[in-house]
Amino acid sequence: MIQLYHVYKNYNGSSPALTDISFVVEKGEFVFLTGPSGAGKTTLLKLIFCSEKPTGGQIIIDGKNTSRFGTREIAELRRKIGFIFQDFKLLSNKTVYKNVALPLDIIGHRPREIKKKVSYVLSYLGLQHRANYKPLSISGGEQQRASIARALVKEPTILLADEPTGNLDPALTNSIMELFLDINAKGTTVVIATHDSSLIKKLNKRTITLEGGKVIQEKE
Amino acid sequence: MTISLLIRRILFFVKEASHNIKGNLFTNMVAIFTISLALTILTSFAVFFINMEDMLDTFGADVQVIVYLKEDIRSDSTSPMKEKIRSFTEVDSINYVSKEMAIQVFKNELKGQKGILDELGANPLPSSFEIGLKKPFRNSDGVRTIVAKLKVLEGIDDIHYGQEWVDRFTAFLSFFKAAGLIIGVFLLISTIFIISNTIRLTVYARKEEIDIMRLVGATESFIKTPFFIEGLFEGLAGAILAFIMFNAVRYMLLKNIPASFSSLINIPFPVTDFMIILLGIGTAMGVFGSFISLTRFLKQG
Ligand SMILES: Nc1ncnc2c1ncn2[C@@H]1O[C@H](COP(=O)(O)OP(=O)(O)O)[C@@H](O)[C@H]1O
Ligand SMILES: [Mg+2]
Repeated sequence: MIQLYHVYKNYNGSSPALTDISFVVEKGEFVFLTGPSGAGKTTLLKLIFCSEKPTGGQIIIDGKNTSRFGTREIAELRRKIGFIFQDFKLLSNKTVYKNVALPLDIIGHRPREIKKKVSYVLSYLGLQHRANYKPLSISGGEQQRASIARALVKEPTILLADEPTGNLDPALTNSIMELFLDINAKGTTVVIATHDSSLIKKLNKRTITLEGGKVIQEKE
Repeated sequence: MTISLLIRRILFFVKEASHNIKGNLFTNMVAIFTISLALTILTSFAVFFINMEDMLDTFGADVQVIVYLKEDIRSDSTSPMKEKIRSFTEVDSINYVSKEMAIQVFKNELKGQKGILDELGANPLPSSFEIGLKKPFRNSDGVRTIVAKLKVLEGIDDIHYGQEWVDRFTAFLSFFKAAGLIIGVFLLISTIFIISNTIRLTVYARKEEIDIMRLVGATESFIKTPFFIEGLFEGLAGAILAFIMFNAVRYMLLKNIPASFSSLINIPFPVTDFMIILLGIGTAMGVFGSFISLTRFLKQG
């Protein structure tokens, strides 16, 4: 469960990125976060993920207030949250396989288990033939799928995705959304930030719309 | 943490470190070479310093106090006096020189000038004690203490100890030790500084990677451990290279300098000890260098 209470975020100097944001995402929910570019979607996901600190307000994840988190608690939180970054954030000197295996290496799974899980998620995303490639030698869409694979391989309880279909063609977009619905059906909370309104229309899920750092609309 | 997880972790870290070393081969070579140069200089200095100090210590053995006895001293009082002086904590050795021995030495030194001696008539030389001091007292202070103790003894005419020479020698020795300590500490700090800066290059080269590791939930120790292993490896490799370089330079010097100087480049320990010390210092510095660069350049992001 994700709870936000009166959350503010000011980056240095500029006008506030987020102003007085409050909402609750229940465990197992599927939520879209939308709004025009610069509305604050990415910032909001970063706050939940503790890669930015709120200027004000409280963010509570699975009952724990993140404002008191130290580096260890943040690391623990990130092990159970899958984050799909808009710019992928893949390690360029490691193969796709190694990149996807990294979260499991960090948690400390057994090698056999890691192999099984990574192979499964790679083939699920149609990437098995790219397993031994370095990220920069595959296409943007493939990189995006690799970053999705890395977020999913640890079977996260919460999945945060920042424009996850930005580099995918419509067919792939559909199959990735199927995938998200699938893992949501298995109990994972899913929050997707996207400015693609056609995507939102198709799925008819709860949608929170931001503009200029404020929630301007909430649709169940 | 279970044993099997611990083993998996260690394997992972070692693999990670070796992967990083291969991936940044050039930077790592530069680091190893820099470390080896710094360690060679440090080692050369230490060896030179230790040998020089030993040499100076042998000069110190020349610090001697001579007690001249009164002309009218009773011959049966010299023996208890000798024992008394021997019991002083500062005294290492004591030697009695009788009037007869003194004149004999004098005669030997003046061979060929017998005339002078004949004119002297009766033996004018006093009997004496030659007193050698223990190592810690072969300096101005030590000499002053023993002289004060000797002065109050009965039957003593005069005390000689080359005051000026002892004072100068003492001053030089303390200057030498202080200079050695300062240079040594300076070299040690610069070596660590060089190592930490070289390792910083490898940390910088992987800044992005480190940020990404954090984002996928790696703890600080998980991120840092491979760097420590890398630093350890660099220190170790640098020390091995330094050992080779030092011995090569030493070998070349031995062939080209006069034999009387060769004691200055003696290795003051058994070779295996020397090797172990050098490797120990190298690895410790490598790990410490990584520690410094990680804490200084790997701020929370
Ligand atoms: N690191 C940053 N430093 C300063 N300003 C930032 C930073 N990140 C985002 N912003 C600003 O915050 C606002 C919201 O940005 P963002 O959260 O990226 O919006 P979105 O993801 O909806 O496009 C924008 O005005 C952006 O310029
Ligand atoms: Mg964005």
